Amino acid sequence: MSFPHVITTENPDVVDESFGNETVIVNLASGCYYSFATVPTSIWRSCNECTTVDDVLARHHEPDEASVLQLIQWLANEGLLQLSAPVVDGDIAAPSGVDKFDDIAELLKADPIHDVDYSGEGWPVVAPPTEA
Amino acid sequence: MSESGTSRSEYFESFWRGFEANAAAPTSVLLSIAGVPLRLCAADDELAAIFFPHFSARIIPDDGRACATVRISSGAATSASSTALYAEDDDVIVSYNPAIGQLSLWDRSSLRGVWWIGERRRLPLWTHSVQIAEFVHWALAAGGVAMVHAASVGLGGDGLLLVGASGAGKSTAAMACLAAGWDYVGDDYCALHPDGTTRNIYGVGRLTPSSVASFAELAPSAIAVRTHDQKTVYDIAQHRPAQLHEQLRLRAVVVPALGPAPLPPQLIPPTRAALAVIPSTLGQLPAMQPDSLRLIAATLRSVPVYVVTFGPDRRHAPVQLAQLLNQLPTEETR
Repeated sequence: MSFPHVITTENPDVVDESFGNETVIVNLASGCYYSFATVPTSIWRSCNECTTVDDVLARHHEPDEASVLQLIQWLANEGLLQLSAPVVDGDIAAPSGVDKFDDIAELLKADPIHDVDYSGEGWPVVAPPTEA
Repeated sequence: MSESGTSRSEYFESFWRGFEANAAAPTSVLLSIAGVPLRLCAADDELAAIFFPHFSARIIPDDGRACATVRISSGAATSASSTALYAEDDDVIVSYNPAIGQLSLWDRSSLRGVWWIGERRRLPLWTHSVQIAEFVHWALAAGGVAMVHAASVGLGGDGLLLVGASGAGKSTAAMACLAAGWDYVGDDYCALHPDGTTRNIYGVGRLTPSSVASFAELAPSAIAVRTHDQKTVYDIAQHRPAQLHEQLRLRAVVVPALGPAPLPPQLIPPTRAALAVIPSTLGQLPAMQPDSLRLIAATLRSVPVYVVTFGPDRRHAPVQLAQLLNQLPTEETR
């Protein structure tokens, strides 16, 4: 089966840093961050270097094609890359070798003006209307 | 932008101009923090007296240079309305502290900031010691330096960076080192410079209530107790200036752990340190820039990373950390 789906990884909100065979990725837009072990790191790097899903699959035969496709779709679902069309339908659990952390997501996504607890005071102090 | 709305830039400018209109007796100082210039302008002498002293060691002669500038004021707000503020203007960062009614605005294109509080009496004493952290963070980022939520201490100019979430033990370990006579850069915030050094930002340190009694020799430098977590704040710049260092050459990163007994340092993958320092820094300092994250990561790749398990006796931490520093390869043998 062919997967000519185009992969786009350029996203200023996604910062990835490799440490040997492992990678930490931060999605500044969602507030989630991720730790990738060796295999997902390798596939993530290929996604950044390849144009299509077929190109990625040509590089990775382990663990199997279905698992690679699931990982690529999961990356897309997390907003870490974009696909021209889905390669896997339905919900996908976090793949093996990937840890997702969302403990600071609410904090990073909060609107500093409108989402805070005002304790009834409100922000900012709205000036009374000026009488004409 | 809506025809009836206020963009973040307009909102920012209303506060920036409001300072000019309302400042009774503005006064300013030029700081050098980790080599990055930052000018603070206070609207009056009272605000200057609150904010400037804790940066006394960072003040340099003001030659009028163009640099990042923060205007500090309080009192009357502008006529801008909360219901018409739009988020699509990415040049202006907004940070609001609802607990004390304090607003921070930063225009990253012009490196101008506005620190504003409605009622200055709501500014708790402990915040004086870690003032304008978000502006320091933004100004340093613009200067290619990363502010991090981490501690840094050392011996003979060689430094360790202690990383971890609040409560992980980095602050207590750093203060134990301070009490033991170590070089001190910071216990909660410090800066990572691309030249491989950790840099001092603030001249203070903190201890949890359970640790205060263990370090009675630091008591004379205690200046306040924070209301939200009861941590005691110590003025190190005033009381132990010889130990407060501008910079240390980073030799290793330490992820502290607490256990029933101290354990020897264990070399770990730098990913562990990244997962310790990046989220806590993201959570503490708003609007972290990708370049800062990359500098943090580059730093973690440049030195070995260890987990050091401290036992119940926190005063033993400097012994363990000194052993770690001594076992590291020297610059010549690396």
